[in-house]
Amino acid sequence: MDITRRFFLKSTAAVAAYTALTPHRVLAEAGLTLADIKKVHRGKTLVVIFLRGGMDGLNCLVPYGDPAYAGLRKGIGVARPGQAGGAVDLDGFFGLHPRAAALAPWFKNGVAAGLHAVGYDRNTRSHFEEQDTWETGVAGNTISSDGWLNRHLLTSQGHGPIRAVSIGDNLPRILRGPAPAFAVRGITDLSLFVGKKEGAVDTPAQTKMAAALEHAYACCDPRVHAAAAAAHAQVSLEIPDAHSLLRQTANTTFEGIAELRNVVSQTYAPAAPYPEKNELAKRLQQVARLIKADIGLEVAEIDYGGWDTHQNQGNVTAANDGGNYGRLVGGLADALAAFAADLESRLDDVLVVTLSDFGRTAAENGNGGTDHGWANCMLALGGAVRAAGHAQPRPVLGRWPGLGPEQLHQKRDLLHTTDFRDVLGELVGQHLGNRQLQTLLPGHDFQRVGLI
Amino acid sequence: MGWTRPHIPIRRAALPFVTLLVVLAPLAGFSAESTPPESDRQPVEVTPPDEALTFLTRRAVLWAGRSQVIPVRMKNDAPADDELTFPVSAADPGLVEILRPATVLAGEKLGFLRVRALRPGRTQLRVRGAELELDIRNDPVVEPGPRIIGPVRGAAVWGKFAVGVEMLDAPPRNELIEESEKEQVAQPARVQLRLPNGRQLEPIAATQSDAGPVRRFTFEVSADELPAGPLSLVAVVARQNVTNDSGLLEIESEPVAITVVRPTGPGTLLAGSCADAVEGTPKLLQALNAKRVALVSREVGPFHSPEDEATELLGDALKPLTPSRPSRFGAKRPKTGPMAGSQSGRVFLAISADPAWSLPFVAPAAARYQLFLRARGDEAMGVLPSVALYLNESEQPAALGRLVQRDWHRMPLGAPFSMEAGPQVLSVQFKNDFSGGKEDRNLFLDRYELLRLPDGTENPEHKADDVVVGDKHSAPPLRVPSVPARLSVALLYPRDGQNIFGADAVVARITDSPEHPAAWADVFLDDQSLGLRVEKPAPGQLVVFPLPARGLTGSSHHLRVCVADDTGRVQDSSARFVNFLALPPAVPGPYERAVHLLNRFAYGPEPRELAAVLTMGEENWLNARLNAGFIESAAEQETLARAIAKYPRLDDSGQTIQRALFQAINSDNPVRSRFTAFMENHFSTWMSKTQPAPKWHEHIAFVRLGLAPFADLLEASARSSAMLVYLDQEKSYARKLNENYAREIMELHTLGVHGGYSQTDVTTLAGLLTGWTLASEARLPLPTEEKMQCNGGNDGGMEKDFRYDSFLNDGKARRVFGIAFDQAPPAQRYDRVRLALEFLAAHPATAGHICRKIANHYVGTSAPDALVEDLTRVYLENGGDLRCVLRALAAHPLFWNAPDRLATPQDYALRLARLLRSVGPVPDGKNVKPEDIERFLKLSGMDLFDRVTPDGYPEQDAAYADSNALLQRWRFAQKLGALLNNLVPTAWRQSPPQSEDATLPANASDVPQRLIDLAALRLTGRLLPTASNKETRDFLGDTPTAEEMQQAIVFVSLLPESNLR
Repeated sequence: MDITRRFFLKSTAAVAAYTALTPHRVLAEAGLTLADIKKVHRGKTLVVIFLRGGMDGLNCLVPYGDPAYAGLRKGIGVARPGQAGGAVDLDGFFGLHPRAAALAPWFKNGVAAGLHAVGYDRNTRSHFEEQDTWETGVAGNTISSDGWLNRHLLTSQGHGPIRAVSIGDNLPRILRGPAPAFAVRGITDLSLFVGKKEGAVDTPAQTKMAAALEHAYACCDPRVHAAAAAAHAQVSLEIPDAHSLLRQTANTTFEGIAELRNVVSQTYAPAAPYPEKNELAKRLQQVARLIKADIGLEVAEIDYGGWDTHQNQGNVTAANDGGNYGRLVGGLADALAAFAADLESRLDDVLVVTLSDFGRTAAENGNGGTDHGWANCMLALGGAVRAAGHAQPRPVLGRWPGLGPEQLHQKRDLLHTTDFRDVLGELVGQHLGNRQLQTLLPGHDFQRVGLI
Repeated sequence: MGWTRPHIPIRRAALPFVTLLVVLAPLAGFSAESTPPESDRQPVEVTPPDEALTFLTRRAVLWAGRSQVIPVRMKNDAPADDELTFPVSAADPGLVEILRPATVLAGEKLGFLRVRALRPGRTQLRVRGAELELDIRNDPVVEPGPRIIGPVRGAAVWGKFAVGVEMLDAPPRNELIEESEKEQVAQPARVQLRLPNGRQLEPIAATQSDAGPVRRFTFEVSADELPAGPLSLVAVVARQNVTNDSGLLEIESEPVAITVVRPTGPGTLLAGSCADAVEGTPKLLQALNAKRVALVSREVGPFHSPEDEATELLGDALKPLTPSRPSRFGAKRPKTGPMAGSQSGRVFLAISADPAWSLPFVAPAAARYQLFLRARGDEAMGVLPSVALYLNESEQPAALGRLVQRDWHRMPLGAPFSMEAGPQVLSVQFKNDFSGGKEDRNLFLDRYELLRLPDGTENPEHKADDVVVGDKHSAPPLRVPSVPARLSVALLYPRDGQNIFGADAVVARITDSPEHPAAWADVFLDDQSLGLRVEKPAPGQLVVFPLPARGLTGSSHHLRVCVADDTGRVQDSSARFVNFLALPPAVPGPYERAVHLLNRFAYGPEPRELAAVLTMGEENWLNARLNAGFIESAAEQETLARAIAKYPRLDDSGQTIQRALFQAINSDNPVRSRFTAFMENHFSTWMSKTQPAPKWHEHIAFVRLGLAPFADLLEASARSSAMLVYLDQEKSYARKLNENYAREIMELHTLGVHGGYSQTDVTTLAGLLTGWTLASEARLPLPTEEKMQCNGGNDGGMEKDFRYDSFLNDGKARRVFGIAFDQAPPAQRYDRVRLALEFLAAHPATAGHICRKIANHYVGTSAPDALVEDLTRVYLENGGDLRCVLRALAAHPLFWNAPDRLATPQDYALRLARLLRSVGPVPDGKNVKPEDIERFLKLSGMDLFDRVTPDGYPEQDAAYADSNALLQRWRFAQKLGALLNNLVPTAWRQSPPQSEDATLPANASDVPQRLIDLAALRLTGRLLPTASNKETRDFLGDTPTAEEMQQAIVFVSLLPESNLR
């Protein structure tokens, strides 16, 4: 198959194909017309890492300076900087979990920042409902909403055929909705046919079949049904017929695959080494590859689960490397640091953020773990963070509500002082340049956070 | 095994002399017309002008025994200034009871009346000058009948024990009758318990819960008067006030098979006071020793047993030990105390799960044991305590059961369980503690009896299968005597002189003898074989040959089918003359119409259904498929049983999906299967939130209902614990409303988002719905789940069951979207919800919304308004019977003009799997696996039961046109590879062609094209259009290798045409 022939897809063509697929009704329900759909900032990418299970933010960005912290977490608490297994100091009040030390240099040079005590007022402490809330961007009746990143795609124009990718088996809810988004296990998993081992190429028969298939789909036309066309004419104008849909979708698919294949066909040498045996790092490396290939990727999503640490969360001592939680937070930090280093100057256009279901209880429970709590911290990394310039004096943003008995929410959890929708709005509005925030995150009165 | 016997409640006409029939005297007959009935709302008395009202249709269908709402409209189409009430009358008051006069609220154009049909027949309903023709039919579905809640299936019983039966008994409220009068007229339902030898028992107690519509009946059965061995219990209720053509209607419960045992021999029974067992270590031993003599005599009952049945115990046999309660059963100090009616004086009080009641003892032998309890319980939310039995530290209950009445009764706790010899601790835990408002559920235990079962009763469940009491529920399979049949073949389709364009099919029926079965059948065109020989055709089944007509023209070609038996004897059918057209006909022929009908109503032109449509005719075929019941179908029952045997885990999401997919692939009624999938998607719930078991129960409820009046489908959904969990109705309380379900039932399930209701209506309906909820109780497996496994998972063997708790409702008067609900005492609150559901199902906005969705599904989202309007009228005229709506749809010209649809991933997979199952022969297990389909659907974003949002998967074709979904289809079809080969005879795929082979087409000059045509006909029912055909031909070349031919068949399945329906 001739790949270079259509390596560059004119963005106008992509938009045409895309808008044909976009049900106008969806836009109409959002009170938008095609004229409202503006192009996003060129070349910017938002990478969302969803920490499924409820990450314990109090042991990630450790508020060792809070007088109540050590008492709440006698078993699993992170010691003060300077002590054995102690936190890596950031600003004299907060410190990083020692296993997350790989991020410390990025905090020091202002590329990474944390935002603590993020949440909202109607947290149910249910994984199901709170992942929904974070993914749909709608508090309350989240059951009837699409993902907010899909609404971003729907309400803006991109610069290439592949605007959004989830590296994983399934498209997560945050990307689900009417706008097209890819879920690929890996960008080398691109056979039209049976999933292959990495790097394997189609057999000659498959290549031949793919070419024939592409031609067949390009010619897909409705059967001639004069009577049918007349009878259904009044609505058929708005609703694309099945044949056109198949033709357009196949076109997008063949173009997209050619595009990704082109990326894959060029050997990729990361500018910095990625850690071994780290699934998140492996996936981030693929995202880096796509970003560097300049194919218009705006949104990448990666799930990183296992954070529901109800028991034996683990701690760091001279003899103990941090247990379960330490492994998770270490994996996260190592992968992020490698990703940042690999991107080099492209890091200026990239913003990575972590989301999670909810924070966890301030106090540890009877099983050496923590239970479902309230507010949490978010990590952000990228050129946009550095550009904001605040990181040097305050690497950890957000008003700190305190961990004292009277300061805790319902006497058990970290209170939220920043609404998560304000953060999400800033990511999409500032970084990607989508101004349709009221459609993205409906019913919210936005406050500036100043993360980027 | 006994699974094929459908354990289902059936209705039977009882003998006329057993009549318990009470017909309510109609108080609103014609003579009452001049005196408007009083309403406790006391509406403004207005005398409306004559003919101020009109019905929406001229005729309507009612269902005998069912209350229904009928809408009326202001004739001048102007909103009523004040609330108007009009008396309603029936021409034959013996057929219809008027429950509520026609009432139009102030500001509304629509009003509503409520009736209850009593018997099948025809009559007229009159409101002022308006008249409605009524056609009263037999109730198409059975209302929830009585249910035996204890003992559970498999229990071993001795002595006198209690049998509990529950049923919903909430007759609709007649607003025209004073409550005092009503009590004299209405009688509560009567339930009897049927035992072997025709014995019928009357209940010793019948109670109606204050909280809800559930009525409980307790029967006392003396096992000692029954022969030892398997015993089947059936509860029977005679339906009040309703008759069918032949008399009184009876509804039977599912039978519950138990085993009667005789405790004999030393060391088989341990019995004692529950309070004594927990009152301290040394104290217990002292007490036990002191009471050694007393313990020797067996005590049973609340229904005490004769002394002479006393059984020896203790010695080295069953022997209590020093109590030590496993730590997980709670640290609280056990409570004991005196209680009236107890036999032991003091009882064990369980006011919460902690602490459990524990009994340490030494088991004499490894054996099966049955525990009996003498217990009573306080009711809350209309629910009695459920109890679970645990052995030692096990977290999985060894037995589970529900108490059957509030008063003291002796009950077996669950079924027998196995126990090793040696020291054991047995704990009984109160599983569903509840307190809230005025209600507090508590459990009290008086005495226990633990029996080591005789060796002969190792597996009572299996033996119980063989027991049948009274009438058998299903007739034995009809045995056709084997009469030597002559070999013959009849050509059934096409008809003589038929015009054929493009493609068609030939259908024949073969008759053979068992001694000399048919060896093959072949079709000949102008005396030349088409190379489609079918080997070993199944006797009695129709044989279908695809007939590609590419390149054929001219009239008077003749077709015949030829059959041969194993002796080489050959028989011909008579010949049929057909004409091949060069140009498409002005109107599509029967074959093209059959393909379209099957594409939309079923899962494509699979051979069996294609043959059925072509030979039965469209209308007969559709009626047969629409009217076929699930419960009555032995084939469907067998499929279900196979699905359960293959995927037995009730608590596993993957297996639940695979089980349902297995059913959909193998169902012999694809029309019903598609409709059920459509309806489940309409009432969508998400398994990740509902959990697998409730989702499966909901699925089975829809499968069993199939095509039904919409009101039944709505009620099935409203009663399903899956829906009430999913949309948070179980968490909605009078003072803490959750509006989720109230909103979606109007927006998505009935009226539609543009149905005209307001936010106030949502809040008001949510208030009315409080009390419509779930309660946690011990799981009673459905009969279909007999062989299913469930380790209890997180729920520990408990399940959430639908309950109505009127104490969770405030009973205030409410007005919801054009209908008023009076203030109601607790006993009438349930009926208000029923009225609300009937109202929603009967509302013209619902009719329009449902018919729009049906048109969108069966025709496409481009379905014209005219079609929807016609269907809506059919809905309103037929009591919402969706069979009538689908029939009208199939008869509608706009259906036949529908443009092609994109097959959804579910369609695509099921079409392929059903097709591949029917061509072949493909041995079972060699077909597409449900596991593969599940994975494909998951990767395509359309996994079964996995729609997160309550709107269900969308109907728009565009929703399934994305790159990922397309890639996944291509990969899925390519993985099927070898299976797809079966679409084309083996001989066709050989290279070079074996020209001597008799199964090759006689005119084999263009084998590649014939191969493509045949694959396309099987997959899509049609020849490929020019472009796709050219690409396939080019791909194949003129002298393809065998491998290339196989790839070409796969290629056809990837083409755009194979993605349509």
